Amino acid sequence: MLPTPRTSGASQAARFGTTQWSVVLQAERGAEDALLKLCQLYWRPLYAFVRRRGHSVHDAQDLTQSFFAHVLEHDALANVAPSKGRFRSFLLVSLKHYLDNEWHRANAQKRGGGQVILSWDDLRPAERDALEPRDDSTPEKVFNRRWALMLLERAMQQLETECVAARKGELFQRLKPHLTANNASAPYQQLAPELGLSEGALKVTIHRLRRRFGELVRQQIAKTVAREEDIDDEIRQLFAALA
Amino acid sequence: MKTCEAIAAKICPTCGGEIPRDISFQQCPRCLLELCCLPPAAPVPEAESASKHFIQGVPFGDYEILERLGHGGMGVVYKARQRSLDRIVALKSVRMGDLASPADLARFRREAEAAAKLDHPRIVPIYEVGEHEANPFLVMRYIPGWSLAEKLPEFTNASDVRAGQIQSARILATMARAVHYAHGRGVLHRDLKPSNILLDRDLEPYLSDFGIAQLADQESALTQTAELIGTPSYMSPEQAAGKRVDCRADIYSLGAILYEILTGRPPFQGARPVETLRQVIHDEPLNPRAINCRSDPELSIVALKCIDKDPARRYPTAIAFAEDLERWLRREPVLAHAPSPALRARRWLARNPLLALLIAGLVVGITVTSYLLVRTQEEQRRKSIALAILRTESARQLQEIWDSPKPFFAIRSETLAAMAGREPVRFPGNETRLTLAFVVQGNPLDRVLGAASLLQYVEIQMKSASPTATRLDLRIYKRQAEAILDFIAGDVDFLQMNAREYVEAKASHIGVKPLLLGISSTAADGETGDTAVLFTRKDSGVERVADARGRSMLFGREDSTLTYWAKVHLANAGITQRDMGKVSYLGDAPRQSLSDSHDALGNPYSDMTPVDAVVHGRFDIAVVREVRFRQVAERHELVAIGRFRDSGYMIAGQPALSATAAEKFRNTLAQLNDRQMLQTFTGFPKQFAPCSDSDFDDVRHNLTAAIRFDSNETPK
Repeated sequence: MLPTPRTSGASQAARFGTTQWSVVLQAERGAEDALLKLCQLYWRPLYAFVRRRGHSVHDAQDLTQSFFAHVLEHDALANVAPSKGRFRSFLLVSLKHYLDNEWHRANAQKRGGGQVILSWDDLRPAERDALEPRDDSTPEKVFNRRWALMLLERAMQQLETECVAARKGELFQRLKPHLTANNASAPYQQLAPELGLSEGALKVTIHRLRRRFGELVRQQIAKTVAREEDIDDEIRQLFAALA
Repeated sequence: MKTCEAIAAKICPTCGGEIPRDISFQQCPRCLLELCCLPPAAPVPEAESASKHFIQGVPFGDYEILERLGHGGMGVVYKARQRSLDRIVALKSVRMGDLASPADLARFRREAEAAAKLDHPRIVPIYEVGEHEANPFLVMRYIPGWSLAEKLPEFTNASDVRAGQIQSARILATMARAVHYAHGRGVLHRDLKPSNILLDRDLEPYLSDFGIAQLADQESALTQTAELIGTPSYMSPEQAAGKRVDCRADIYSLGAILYEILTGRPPFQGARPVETLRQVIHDEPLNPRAINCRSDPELSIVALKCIDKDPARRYPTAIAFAEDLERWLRREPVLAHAPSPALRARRWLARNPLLALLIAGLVVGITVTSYLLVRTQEEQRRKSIALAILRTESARQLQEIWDSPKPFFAIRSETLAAMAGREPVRFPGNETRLTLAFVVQGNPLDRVLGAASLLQYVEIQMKSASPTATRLDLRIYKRQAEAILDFIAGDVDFLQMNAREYVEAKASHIGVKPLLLGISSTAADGETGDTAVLFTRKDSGVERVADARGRSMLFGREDSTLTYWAKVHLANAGITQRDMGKVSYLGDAPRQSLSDSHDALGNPYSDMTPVDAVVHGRFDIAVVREVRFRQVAERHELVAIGRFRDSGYMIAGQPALSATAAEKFRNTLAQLNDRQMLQTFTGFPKQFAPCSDSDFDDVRHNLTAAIRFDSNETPK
């Protein structure tokens, strides 16, 4: 009823079934493009999983790449009914199936048609390090944790882009470290005059940034679930993965 | 193996967990993830309103606040001095909500910049868009004077009524032209209201706050008291419903302002903003003259046209509105019409049938004659109520009649006059009563109301031609057969029938005099609306009429000339009913009740029914008017396999009618070209033309072919 309805993009997308994942689920054919896009976005946690399984760097790269080719070529969707709701779980389960069944292939050759190009060389050293396995977690934990971190990183990048577009790039850089600080400990008194704002205005600005960040994360999650109700559950699972 | 140094893991001060080092954002990921779960409208701790930052005498940037001028929906307005140019400006601080993201702020800035590019002598220029204390502010030209909101009561209650209305019309015409200029540059205002129209000391108007008013914090607007924000009384229904708006929303607002000038209050005003919004979307506005009898009748109609719920019925552009106002100022007739009595009555009835019955309970025993004697304003008001009741009563009786076995419903001329909103003319001397009849298959109320206007008009015209007066009564029938029987019996003087019925009546030696033929207006390319096509789907395998063998076909109504000619066509190609597959007629479906109208005008035959039937494969072939066919053929992949001219319908008269009466009736209708009146009477965009028996020769000659189709005879 209000002039400019403010339902968040996340709930709108999930509600109308236009998330990339629901497109994939609903389409019987012709969803390859959507699936391909999702694969290109979300390969990092998969690679981390494969590495944690014990494969060498080179093998892990090959396996991850050929896993995607496999998903595209075969009707992989048909085999994973229970986890159809979430893209993340679907990927994980499919990957496990794939590794268990295909792992005996010594020659992980690339198949024609369905080649998926993953940007290994774009990884900075820190990122590559980040994908290396840690000792104390199972491959699944590694996968989920990387997934959650990836979402947060992406949301942060988007927020930065928005701020730069709104000519607030520098403000964003100064306030970024304070996104999570709670209000009691944040140095508003010092920071405000440096930015040319009063304390109250500074609080308002930070509050707005936090809200927007939260919205961006939700929007991303919404893309990977089929129903709006699943978003909160997915957040809970990711939270557990980060513990 | 990793080569980075072993640094002690950082601990998050908020949640106590470890902050991993392998992330790029250097913050606790758990706390970040928690930001997705912020409750919907968490209050900002110690949020201060933006206006606190604008303190008199304390300069900021290039500006120095001089005094506070007032507040509006968007924020507070100050008089300020721009130091670099040493000039006085108006500075408006804009309250953006706490939910505003950087993207929202950027959007506000973009809109403000678009508005700042508007360069029109009547639009308050925006000099600068700035930001102070995390909220935007605007710097505009300072115009000493008043807003229209302050001056409005003076215009409404001016002692010289006409002067007040002239001045208002001038102001609105000027504003409409300014709005049109902005529309031409792609900028909508979206929040036009009297407080956004500024008047300088000479009462010259200026428009302010283009396009940006609704980007400010509107979300909390409704929760605040009505004094702080404007009421949504000037908002168009589509905007109130949250739909996309175009330039006609601004036209609506201008009309609402005109309405307020005429009556002293906007068209809709509830006790609370939410109530107002509901009224804007659902309720029909009262005619300004019903609220203030001094309202100029033409300005009232102009205002009503602007605030029509259907944007398509408003002025299409702001300049069309300005031009109509300017016509009024030059004392020329305006182009806006009052809605037809049928439309008004229908809307009134749709709105409050219960209220109508309640009023009927209070005002007892209103007869047609007593309401005629009104003189004072109070009696005027009671008369309008009585009129409405009369219409409700007629509607109720119509409902009863329609549900009963009685074959027709008769309405006397005096009642028709009341329905048309007129006082029945008193005729001195003798008077004759004649009856016109036609058949109605849907909701008869609309057709009756339409016929009322038309028949009253004809009555007046006929009066001017002869010493004796003629009153025209109306009978509406449920079935043509009954109407024809009553025509033969002499109870009906003028009967609407189709060409085939006329020919068959004549052939049966029934006395019938052809008077008028209904003809369709000519379309732009010379094709008349009377042409019809036989059509099928592209992939049906039927290419010519001869291929129709064994195929299913949906004709029009069984007794219509459309069906008749289609059959002739088929018969001439050597096909009879037996040769075809399934054959059906429109109207074969079970009879619907009175409350299910087929369309707004009560037409039982919808052009889209045969199209739908063929598109969805229920029938292979159907027949429809060419005008409709052309609209849908390409989209639905339909082809025409045959084409013919439909005969339409005609009005026949009793042979016993006096020659003068018949002539006068015929000539009046033939000369009538008021499309609206004709359309509500006939249901189709037709005109009447005088006709004679020879106009039906083509129907007559083909009668045998049609009969052949039905009786399965093949030609020798």
